[in-house]
Amino acid sequence: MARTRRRQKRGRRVLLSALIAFAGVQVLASALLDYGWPQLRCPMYHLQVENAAHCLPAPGMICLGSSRSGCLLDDVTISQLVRQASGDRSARFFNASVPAGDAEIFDRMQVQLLSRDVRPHHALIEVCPENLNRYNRWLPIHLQWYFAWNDVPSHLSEVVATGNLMRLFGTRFLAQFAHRDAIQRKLAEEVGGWFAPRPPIIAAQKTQVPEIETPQPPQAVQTAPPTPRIEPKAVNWDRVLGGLQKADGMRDRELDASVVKRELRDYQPGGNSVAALERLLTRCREDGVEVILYTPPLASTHRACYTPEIEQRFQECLGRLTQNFHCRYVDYRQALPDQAFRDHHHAVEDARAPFSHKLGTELIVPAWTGQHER
Amino acid sequence: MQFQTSGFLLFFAVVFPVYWALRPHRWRMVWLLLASCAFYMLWNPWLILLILFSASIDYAAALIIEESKSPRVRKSLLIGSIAINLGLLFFFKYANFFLDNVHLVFGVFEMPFSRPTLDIILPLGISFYTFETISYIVDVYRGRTKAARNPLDYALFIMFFPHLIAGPIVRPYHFLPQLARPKRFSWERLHLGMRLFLIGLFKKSIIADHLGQQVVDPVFANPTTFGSGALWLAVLAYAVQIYCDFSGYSDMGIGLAHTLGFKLPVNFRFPYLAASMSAFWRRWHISLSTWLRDYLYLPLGGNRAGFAAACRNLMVVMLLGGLWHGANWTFLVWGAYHGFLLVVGRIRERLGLLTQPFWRPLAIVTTFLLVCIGWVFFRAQCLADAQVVLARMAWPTDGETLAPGAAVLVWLCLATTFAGHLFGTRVNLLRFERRVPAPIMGAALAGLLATTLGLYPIITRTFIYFQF
Repeated sequence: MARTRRRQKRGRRVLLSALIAFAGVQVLASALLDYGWPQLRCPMYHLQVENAAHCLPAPGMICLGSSRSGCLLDDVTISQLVRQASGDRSARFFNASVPAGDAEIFDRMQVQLLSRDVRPHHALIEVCPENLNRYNRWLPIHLQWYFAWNDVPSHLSEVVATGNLMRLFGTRFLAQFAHRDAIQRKLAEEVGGWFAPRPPIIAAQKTQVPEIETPQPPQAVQTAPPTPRIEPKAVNWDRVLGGLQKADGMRDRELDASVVKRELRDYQPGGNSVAALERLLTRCREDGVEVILYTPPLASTHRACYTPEIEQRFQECLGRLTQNFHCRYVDYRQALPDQAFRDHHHAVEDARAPFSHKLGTELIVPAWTGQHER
Repeated sequence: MQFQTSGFLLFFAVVFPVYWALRPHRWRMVWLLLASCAFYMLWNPWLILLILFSASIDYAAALIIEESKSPRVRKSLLIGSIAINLGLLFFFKYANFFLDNVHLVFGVFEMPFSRPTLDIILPLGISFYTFETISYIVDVYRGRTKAARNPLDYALFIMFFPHLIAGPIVRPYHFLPQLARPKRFSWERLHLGMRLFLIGLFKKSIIADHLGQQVVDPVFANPTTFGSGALWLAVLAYAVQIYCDFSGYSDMGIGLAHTLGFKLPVNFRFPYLAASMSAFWRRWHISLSTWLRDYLYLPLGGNRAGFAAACRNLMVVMLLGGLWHGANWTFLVWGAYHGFLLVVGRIRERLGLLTQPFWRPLAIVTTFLLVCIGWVFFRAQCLADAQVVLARMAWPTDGETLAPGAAVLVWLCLATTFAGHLFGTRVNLLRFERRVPAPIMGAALAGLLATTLGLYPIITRTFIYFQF
């Protein structure tokens, strides 16, 4: 009897110790992933910050966007257009888009960029109705990739309201499991493909952006210093987007747009997203950065989710923001036909160059040259 | 629903506390039965009717067999019950295989045969619960087990979720008495159960799944493009994968049963340290090999009718054992191969060759390599693929190689498996575990869980034995 009691007690002690040790390890792991190796959770975000910081020449205009802008705006094409128009051989447009990027992510990215002394004179900031909603549809991704322990208090009510409590619990208290993809990717990089379920998003070796050919007057060719070469690690947006194929475009356009529709119910701009955008715009105003808010092209199925009421509220919100922060808003939602999309909001690679040219000519060059004239 | 998924953890998080919260023993058993039904129905709600039908027939037949004094009635019921069970198994598992081969034979003789297309879903666990129902009816017939009076008890014997899908194949005399005993919650058993579950989860999710994904599947999907080195590595990897996959599932099932106060039979006992094929089969899938021995080999005459008859019986048992694994010629050849090796082993023992302890290390290595060669038939999609793999393994051939990381992974997993085998055979695990201080044991469990979660595959794979 005494032996049974002793064994019972031991069993209880073992399980209790296991529970305490496990909880401790998980909290420690999540803290380490938040503050020690944040680049592990979303390598692309940190890569973009690094690229922007090391970009030579320093970017005069930066695009803060999501994967929509990421797969659509070509730095080289736009930079070339600006150089041609302005004659400034050091003009550089930098696309700092990140997956699931929205005002909250741009806000923290801008803080990091400023701390690295990246101070462009122009900022192109992506805004969409769903990303200004008080309940952010990308919150699950933010919890997974971007948010840390210090974000929990400010976002707890939004997490509960959007039904993401389990995900929050997972990322905070089962950090190793929630971030196992990132952990295994890193392990794969370190030890050569042991646990590599998918190829890494970022190309392993540095790739060179081709030198931008700027038309120069004959005498200037000899006297002008050579344009510095930019060598960032390439972000392969095709791979980021999971290899979505054009053939599946129609089906995906229809399927995914229904999700957007569901997430736009009870649409009300506000909450953390708008607060973050206001913080970002305030900082830009203080720093003398000229801001252009823009909505990227979307497929018709996606656009159809914006009912007149939603559109009205979105425009009201934008009107308030542009007025308060003296910025412009440009709408490119209808700029591409449906065939140019691989799903309801990501354009195919073929659309990248023409759209970059269009945006560069219509929006960026005039803005840039205006800046120089000023 | 698979044990390693979050869905199952949620399911168990409901089943476990409710089970122990219920006070009356009968209610607990009813709750377990309901949970087991739900567990099966989450995969396919309709095919539970098949299990219930099969179980009802055996339940009724066993009662009549026990009551009846007439040997003729008893025997007829026994045969009838077995025929129904095997008939269902044959229809769901082998009908298409049979039709394919009939079609092939007719084609050889250029005779017209229009092959009907049967779109049959293989009911999960049918091979396992069919053997359990057969063992029940045979044991009742032999008087080894008393027929279950309560249909709920019998249903739970068949459907108890920790063993329902892929074993271990439980025996009625082992399991039915446990249903009658009231359960008392024990922290010690909960600890034991969770430890076994974690070890099983690690084996399955970390070793087996990663090996399958990184090495085995790519190579066996297209063996003609790979060179000898890669094929050898893939075969070694498959040997580790199938062991960790299946023994991992068994560990999880046994562990879950412990947490609910039940004991399931051990299914694996460090099989890759076997020094002969007969020793291998005493250590590998023990619940199946003992079933085949008790209900097939011994009724066929065992080794009572002389050496030649014993060899014949071995071949028959292994052929049928191979076929039990799947409706494919590869399994049949695998069974024949093992039968042949068992017969050779018998001859070796009879002649007293290489039986001294001196030869033991060599015998272990040889047995392991012979088993690995057998796995080629087991894993290959068809006999032609198996032939390609074996030919390239036998004769050095150029071709694609595995990434260095994948090769290291194979050797690491192989070393871990053998280290586990050696540790398990040299050390009394229970006594060792009791000597370790509780906090250290707890920290080790936490570490194992944390490692498992960190390396848990992004895409989970079904257990290999689910297809059987």
